[in-house]
Amino acid sequence: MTSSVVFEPRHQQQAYRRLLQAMSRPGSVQTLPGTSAWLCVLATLCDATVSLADIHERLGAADWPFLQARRANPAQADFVLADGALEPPAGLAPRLGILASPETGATVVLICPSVGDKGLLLELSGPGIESTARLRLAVAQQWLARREQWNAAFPLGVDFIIADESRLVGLPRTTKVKVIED
Amino acid sequence: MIEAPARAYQYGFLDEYAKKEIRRQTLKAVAIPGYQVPYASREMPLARGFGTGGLQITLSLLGPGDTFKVIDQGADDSVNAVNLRKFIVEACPDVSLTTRAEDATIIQTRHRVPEVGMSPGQILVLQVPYPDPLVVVEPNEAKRKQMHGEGDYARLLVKLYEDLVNFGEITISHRYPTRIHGHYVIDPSPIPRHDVPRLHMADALFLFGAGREKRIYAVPPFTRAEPLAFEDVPFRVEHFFDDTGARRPCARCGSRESFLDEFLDSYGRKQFGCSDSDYCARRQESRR
Repeated sequence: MTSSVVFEPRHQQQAYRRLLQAMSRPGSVQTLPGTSAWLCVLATLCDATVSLADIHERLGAADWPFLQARRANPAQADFVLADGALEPPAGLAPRLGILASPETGATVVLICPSVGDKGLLLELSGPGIESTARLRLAVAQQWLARREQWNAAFPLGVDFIIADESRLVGLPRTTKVKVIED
Repeated sequence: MIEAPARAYQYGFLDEYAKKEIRRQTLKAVAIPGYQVPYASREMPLARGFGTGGLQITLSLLGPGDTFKVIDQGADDSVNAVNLRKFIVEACPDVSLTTRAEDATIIQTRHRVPEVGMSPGQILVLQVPYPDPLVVVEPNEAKRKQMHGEGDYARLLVKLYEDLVNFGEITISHRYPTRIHGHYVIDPSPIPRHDVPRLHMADALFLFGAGREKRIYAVPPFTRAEPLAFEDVPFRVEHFFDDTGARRPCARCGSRESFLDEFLDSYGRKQFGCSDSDYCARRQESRR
């Protein structure tokens, strides 16, 4: 059972502003107040009009009614929640959107043990980054390889939000990621 | 004084489901720079065309600790700006208001980027009447969406070329089509050409809201924003030269850098003055 503060509008407004910062400045680590940053992301963005796939069963039965999101399989879901420390399942194919409506590409929310100080050292470039930015991320490298495949044909693609218990970063589809140390 | 009816609504006027939808679509807009994301524009307590798109984005953003400024064609004191400020005071009582562009965390604007430019971390919310630059060359929306997806702007360039042939120069004075991150071309809302280069690689987030047309789009910080032009006919901003070829100064503050409005003084003589009232007033103050 998780803290209910993430379902309060005041908290969600603060969380949204940090999410917007994270998406518009990829690689900048944003700290959220309270616990379960990843749950806070879902609570801020989900309601009964969106669908959610929980690949690694990280949500408790009590969370679903609060999130209100419909359960869907990962190929159809608006939001895909997964454990970033585990390898992505073989054949995972989130929605990439269509040329006329690329916003229908899925948002992947990765839960990972640590954002910003441990794990792979990445070099990021693209919109929102002045030249390049560096970021440490404790995710399975396979996620980044798959992300690159999904985002090969801009404007189609998926947008990543990667969060641990208190921090988050955004990796929109436009961000180029290079692993420089693993 | 907050009147009772405003208190009957929750913080930020919009219901939480409306805010969530606007927030989801805004995040997608940031992730796909320049793409017009459709959203369910809500009925607002002001008429469509008076900034409902910008206002909805603003209300989805504002919270305690924010400092807010409204610009209407450069002015802080026009009827539209005053009414929007009054509404924000009622809808978000703990947000502070300012007229100084540097002090604001969020600026909602119609037709101008602040003359002093954007400060790092600021969000500029622009009110947009017509979001799609392709509407002048293609009436069918499904076709326009396909053209945007493919980055096919040949007909828009032909339109600019026709201007050159007929008039010797590109005659677009505001809403100048601008290519974002090398792909989507946006209508940057009716900002003058003077302001278009300020979108390019800026350290601020630009959000565009079209309430009547139900679209949100964005230019993230440090993103290329290149006005459409030709190799041999580069983009240029307004020059404000007088008959002798000298740059006209503002009649009030003397600035030779700012974007100028033309007006008639009490003798019926043509005058030019800064369109940004905050910039102009502060310059006049410092000269006293």
